[in-house]
Amino acid sequence: MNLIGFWNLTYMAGRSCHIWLAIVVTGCLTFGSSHAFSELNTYQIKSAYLYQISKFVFWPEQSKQTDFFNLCILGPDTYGGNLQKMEGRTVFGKPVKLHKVTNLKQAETCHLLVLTDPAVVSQDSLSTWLKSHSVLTVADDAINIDKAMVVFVIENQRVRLHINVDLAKISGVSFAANLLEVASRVKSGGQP
Amino acid sequence: MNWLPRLHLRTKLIGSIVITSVFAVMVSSFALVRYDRIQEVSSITEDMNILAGIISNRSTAALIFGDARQAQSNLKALGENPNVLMACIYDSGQQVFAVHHFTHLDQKPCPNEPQVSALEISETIEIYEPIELDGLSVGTLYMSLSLDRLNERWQEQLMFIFGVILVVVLLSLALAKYLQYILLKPIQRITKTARDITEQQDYSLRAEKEVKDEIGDMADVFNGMLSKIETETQRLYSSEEKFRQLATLSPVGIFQIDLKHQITYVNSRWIEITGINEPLASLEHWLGRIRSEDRRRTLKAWSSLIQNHQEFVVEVGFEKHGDVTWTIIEASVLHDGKGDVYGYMGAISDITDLKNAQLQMENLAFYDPLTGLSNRRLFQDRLSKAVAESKRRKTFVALLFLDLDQFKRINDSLGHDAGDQLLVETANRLRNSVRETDTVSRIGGDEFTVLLSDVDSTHGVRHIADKILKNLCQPISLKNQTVINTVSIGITMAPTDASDANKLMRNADMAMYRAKAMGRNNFQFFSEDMNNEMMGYLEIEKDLRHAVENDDEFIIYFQPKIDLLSFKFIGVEALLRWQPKGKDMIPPDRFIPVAEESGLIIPIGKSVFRKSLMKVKKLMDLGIWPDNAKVAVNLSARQFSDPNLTNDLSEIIEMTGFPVENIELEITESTLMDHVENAIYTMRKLKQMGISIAIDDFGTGYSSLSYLKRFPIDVLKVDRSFVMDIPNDVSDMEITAAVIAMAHKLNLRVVAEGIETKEQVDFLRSNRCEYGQGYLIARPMPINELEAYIQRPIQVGLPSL
Repeated sequence: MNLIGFWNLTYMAGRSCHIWLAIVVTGCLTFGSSHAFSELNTYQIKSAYLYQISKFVFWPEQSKQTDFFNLCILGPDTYGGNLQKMEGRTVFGKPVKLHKVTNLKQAETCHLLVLTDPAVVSQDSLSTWLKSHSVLTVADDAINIDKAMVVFVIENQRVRLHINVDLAKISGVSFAANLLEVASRVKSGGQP
Repeated sequence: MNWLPRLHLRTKLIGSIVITSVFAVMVSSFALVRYDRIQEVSSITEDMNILAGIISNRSTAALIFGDARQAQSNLKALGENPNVLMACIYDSGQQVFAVHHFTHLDQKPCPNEPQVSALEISETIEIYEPIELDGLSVGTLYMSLSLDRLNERWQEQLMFIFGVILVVVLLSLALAKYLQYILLKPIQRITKTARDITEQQDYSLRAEKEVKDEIGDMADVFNGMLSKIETETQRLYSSEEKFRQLATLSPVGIFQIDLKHQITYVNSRWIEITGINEPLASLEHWLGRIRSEDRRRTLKAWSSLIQNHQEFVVEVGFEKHGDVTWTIIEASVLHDGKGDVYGYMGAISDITDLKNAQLQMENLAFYDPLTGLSNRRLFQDRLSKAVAESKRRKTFVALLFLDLDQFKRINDSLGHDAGDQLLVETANRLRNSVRETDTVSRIGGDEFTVLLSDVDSTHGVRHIADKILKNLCQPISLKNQTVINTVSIGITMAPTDASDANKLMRNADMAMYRAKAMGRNNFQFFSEDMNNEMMGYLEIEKDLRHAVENDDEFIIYFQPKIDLLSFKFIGVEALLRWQPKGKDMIPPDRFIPVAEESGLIIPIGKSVFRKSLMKVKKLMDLGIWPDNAKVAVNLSARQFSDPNLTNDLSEIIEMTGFPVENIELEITESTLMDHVENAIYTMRKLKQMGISIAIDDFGTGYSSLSYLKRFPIDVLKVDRSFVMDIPNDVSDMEITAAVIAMAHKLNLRVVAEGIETKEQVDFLRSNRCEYGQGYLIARPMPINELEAYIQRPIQVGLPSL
């Protein structure tokens, strides 16, 4: 009922988009906000969040001089193939293209790098690499806060965000303030 | 609003200023407050819209990432605006995601369903702002804003406005008070001036011009009007003064009366004339003093003036102490400036002197100054009135026409004084013979009339006529001589004989002549015969005129005369016969008086004389006519008094060549006695011409022997009335014998007329009457028969003898 009602409203408001995507995103959101966590798997939520987060993130202008928004995944696909669903959608006006990379070198053209297995890169190399590459790094689990600028954590059975502003600064990536507001933890200025 | 015109101008002025000021302040204040409120609402709305935009933007992530806490935290930020009552965030499923109340009281739940981008302003302002991300709606922000603060502000403003209005009222009152003082003072000055003028009647006062605005103009106009009024008033005063002087000096009484018939003004002359010395008397009171005879006429004139505005002039008398003051009253209506009638004005003039003079003149005009009787004019007037009255009352009027029988002779013989005395005495006797109501008039010379009104029958009239005859024939002493005077009376009755005054006079006149003809000293009633006779008379006169023009209708007959001793033919009497064409012959006793009366006798007489001479001349020329035989032609009284008589006769004699010694003129005794001296003069002239003169009809007149002696006459003809009664009337026989004897004493020859019997001839012969004439001797005959008659053998005795 909720889905149909929302769709109807969006449709009526003239918001032309892919029906499927709309269902997924809004469904995730609805799910996330209506305590139906168990009904959707975490990857589905995370992949939806990933897309939403990209809207609150500001990349430097030179990194936007590409044909695609390159979404890269380093490590195994823990999103259960859900990331591929982002393809066809756009971020800062560029169509999303999913890349699987195995090392940082391959990830030089990425805009968003999902570290499904953060252990494959060291914190230092990553920090160093990030200094020369404006890439938003995303990872799960709070311990990865030093490697990922955005970390998905499960708190109170809800997917929450931890954001490392300091790391983002190194990479030249910045966040919208309201994203920071919803983050349950923001690491900034040496603060936890 | 009836009270509005009753308010003082001052009040109106102050009121209008205060009301205008308050109204202006109120309208502008409320407009400003309203504008302020709209602006405020708009500002708040705009602010809140911006805020809503910010909050919704800020809440995007919270909504997307299901962070209700953060969303609520965002909503709290709205608390910085004191107007916000509550705010809600709905998710894309229109479920309330976050809510926050900013007031502890009257917390309301979020509306069930959010609206799409809407703004509602009622008691509160409600804003719905969509929350979008990348063009997709992810939720809605709802805000409810309280207008309480705005309302409070508004109330404060209103309070302030009322305060301002109060101040404005006070200020404008003060200002208005001052303004009205400034504005109204000049008007009040003008009003005061007008009031002063009204109270003091001083039109020389002027309003002061204090300002140069419209009120200043008004003061100028007012002063101009005052100047005009002053001039007019002065003119009016001088006009009234003039009128007063005129009225005072006027010989005419002047009066003015208002519409209620009250006399409002009279001058002193009016009081003198009317004798009414009561101020403000009423018209009715005044008219009540008018002589009763004139009152009705005057009231009629007044009522016509009052009702129809018809001015009048009436002549009325006022009785004062037994005398009558005669006046003429003239009156007309008075109009005011608008043409409406506001009274009546008039004049009364004393015309008593004039009236008396008029009465005196009327007296002269209507009364005979000698006898004091009414004259012909008044008599005719009274006659007309009496006839009209008799018709109305169905009675009779008798008109007696009297003519003195011997006045002329008395006047001639005893002089005019005696004649006048006779007339006066006659008048007195007449007066004494009739009732006072009857009118005795002298209508000329010796002619009198008596008008008897209210007569029942002719019997009473006869009685009075007898009385008159009896009274008048009493002897009168004139210049030591006793004279007996008689009258002939003609009587006519109205309306039986006639109703017309002129006709009645003619009737009475005719009857009087009949009385004269009946031997005088008697009275005769008018009869229709007389009238017919008169009509015949008129016809005869008409025919006579025609006959005189043609001359051939007159025929001369000749009646022979003979010597009663020798029976010889001694002459003829020429007699006129008249036969109008196509009519019977008319006897001379019918037409001769007509010819005499009309004056036609003069040409007729001349014609008779001429024809007689011509016809007899023929016999003379034939040698038939005896040398000493005469032709006798009658001369009427008119002819005899005609100054051309001797000339005319001389001409005819000369023309015919007839020997004068053969002509005899017969003149009646009465003709000679009318003007004795003239008659003697004329007869002498005729005698000088060689014509012999005979007195005709002797014995019928009143010849006095002394006159007879002086008349140069040759022959005396004894009237037939004496001869015809011979030998039956001894008295007539005695008179005839006496006449013959007297004639012989006077050396006159005597001709007896009308001899019809042998006895008469015998009597006359025995009394030595020289000549005879009559039917026994010969009837009148035409000339051709006369020729034979003369040539017949002389008979001893008469044919019948």
